[in-house]
Amino acid sequence: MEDKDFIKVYEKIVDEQNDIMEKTSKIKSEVDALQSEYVTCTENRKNEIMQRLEKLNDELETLEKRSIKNSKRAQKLKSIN
Amino acid sequence: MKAFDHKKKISEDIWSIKDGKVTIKNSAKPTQLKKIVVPNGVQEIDTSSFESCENLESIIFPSSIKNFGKYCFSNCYNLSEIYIDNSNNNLYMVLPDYFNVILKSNGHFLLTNYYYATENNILNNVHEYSQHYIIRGSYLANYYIKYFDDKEKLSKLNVIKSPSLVKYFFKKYESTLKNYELIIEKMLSRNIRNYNLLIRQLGDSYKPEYEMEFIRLCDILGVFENKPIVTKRISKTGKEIVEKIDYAQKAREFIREKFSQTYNLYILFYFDKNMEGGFKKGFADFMFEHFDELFIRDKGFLQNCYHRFEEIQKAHTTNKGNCRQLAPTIDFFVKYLNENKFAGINKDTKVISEVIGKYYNDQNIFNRAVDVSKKNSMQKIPKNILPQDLKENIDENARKKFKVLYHKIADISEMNLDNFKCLKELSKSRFTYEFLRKNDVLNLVLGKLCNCCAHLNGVGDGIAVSAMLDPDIQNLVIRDENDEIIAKATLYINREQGYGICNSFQVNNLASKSNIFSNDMIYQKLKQALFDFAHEYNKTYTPKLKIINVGMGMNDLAKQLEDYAVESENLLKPFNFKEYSIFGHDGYRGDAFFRQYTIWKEEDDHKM
Repeated sequence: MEDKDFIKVYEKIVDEQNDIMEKTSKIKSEVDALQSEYVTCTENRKNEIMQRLEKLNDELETLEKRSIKNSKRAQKLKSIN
Repeated sequence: MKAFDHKKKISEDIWSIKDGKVTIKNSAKPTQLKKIVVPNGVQEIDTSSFESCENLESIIFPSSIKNFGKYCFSNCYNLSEIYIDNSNNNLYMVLPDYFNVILKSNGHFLLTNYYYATENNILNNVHEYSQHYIIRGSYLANYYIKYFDDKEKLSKLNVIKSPSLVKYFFKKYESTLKNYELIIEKMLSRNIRNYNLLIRQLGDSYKPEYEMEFIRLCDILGVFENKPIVTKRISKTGKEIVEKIDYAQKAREFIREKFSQTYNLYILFYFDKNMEGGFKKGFADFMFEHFDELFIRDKGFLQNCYHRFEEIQKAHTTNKGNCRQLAPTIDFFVKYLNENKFAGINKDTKVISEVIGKYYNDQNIFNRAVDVSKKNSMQKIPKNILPQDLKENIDENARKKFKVLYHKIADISEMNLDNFKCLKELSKSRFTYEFLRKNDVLNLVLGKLCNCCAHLNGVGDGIAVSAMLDPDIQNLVIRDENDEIIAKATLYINREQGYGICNSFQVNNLASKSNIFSNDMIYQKLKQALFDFAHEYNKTYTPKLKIINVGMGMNDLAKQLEDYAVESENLLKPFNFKEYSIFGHDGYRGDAFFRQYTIWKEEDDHKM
């Protein structure tokens, strides 16, 4: 693989990884905040938080899949070079 | 006597039958015969009867057969089948150990001597499997392991204990079986009675289910006695009552019931001829009385005993060589239990035993713990400084959900290059704090958990004791996501002058070394706990708290305090813990006598 192509693919993987990282980090922050809030909030709010956690869970699963895929891409790139 | 049906008839000048016992004259052994039918009515085969009958391939016994003498089939290299009339269902009860495999098929038992048997002549001779396949004997374990992968067959096999080695029946219990694969392998090369050696050899890999251990322990300790116990007692009316108790039967029923209830485990407790009769009375009574205590998983006394087996062994063996033969008696076992912390198990000391027993193997320390706890209850010391419990609590469901999310986040993070950083961040919300209740026995061992001297056997024993006995002192702990204590602080409150002092912050070495933990995070959580405490305290009491300092003498979080807190200009008068020291350690007064940092001030409360 030519250097140019390699860098292109590499950057794509890094961007994707950064994106995953960023989104994971955001979710984590939100989970942190929700956990802190959960201790003191009302029952209604607790229910809302639980629902939100469900959604966050789905998002995390998507991120996990993306991360695995990206990891495979990186491995492939590594094996080619 | 019925004659033999087979090709070559053995006449009575070869056999001699007396009282149902067959003896074959050495000079006239049927060495050329391939197949033999033993006449009906014969109950016992004498020692070495068929020894060295090298051509013998198969032999048929009548239903009357009950026992086989030693070596009766030794050196029968081609013997692969022994048929016994299936009407004698108790046959296996009297078979000696050197018969290794008995398979019952189509109304026949098939016995195979493992030493000379091959896989083919063990299993291939049996076409249909039923639930009655029985394996026994010292070396059957090897055989069993060989077929370990064949789950269908295995699910139909019951393993029976034998006098020397394989002691258990179990069925559909694969995890245990997997453990046994290794264990049995190692056992085979050693004498089972050298228990200590076995344990040492197995090391960490030896983690079978404790129920199995229990049975083994019973056996090794020699808890089986030859005869049922006869007891005599005087009734209320003055009559002498003689009772004959079959402890074997009692134990069999008892253990089976317990096991099936608790672990859904199928155990047929088979008592060999030599063991028939029952448990020794002392042990049986002890066991039945304390079964629950003995049997608490992970922390039961039995497990403690198990881990201390070496000591038990030392206590009553005279041969100090490496290969001591273990021959403990139940008396010694009970004595050991009584002499050590296991003594006096009752409702009050049970919890102390469990907590203290994890850390100390010393009766004196146990007694000290009991004393302190007794004083605590006698003096009616309040459970907390505050009237209410103060513990950060998230309900279980929510906690689980959060935990799942955090695990997922961690998984994703691990796939990233910045794994360490992500995990460290994760740990932030994993800790919780708790002010330990003053009557919690954990107070007495906290130092053990946090690598400091504030425990019953340490220089800081005064800290441990005062946390239970002094109404103005309480321990604060930080727990990780598994609820393990990873840090502690001992808070002293001067109610009159309105200040508090934490003796110091102590962190578990392992926790602070681990990547996913961070002293920063632990510090923040301790700080939060003290803030919460001060807030609650000031709502409840006057005079109000104005300041909380932390001693810097032996502080694991000194760096964090230096970074985030301010050094106190005036030293507040700390509590002198030596007042409570059982040993009277004069040299140690606490960690706050020379240098203090302020972690909370009154004005901080308004910032919350």
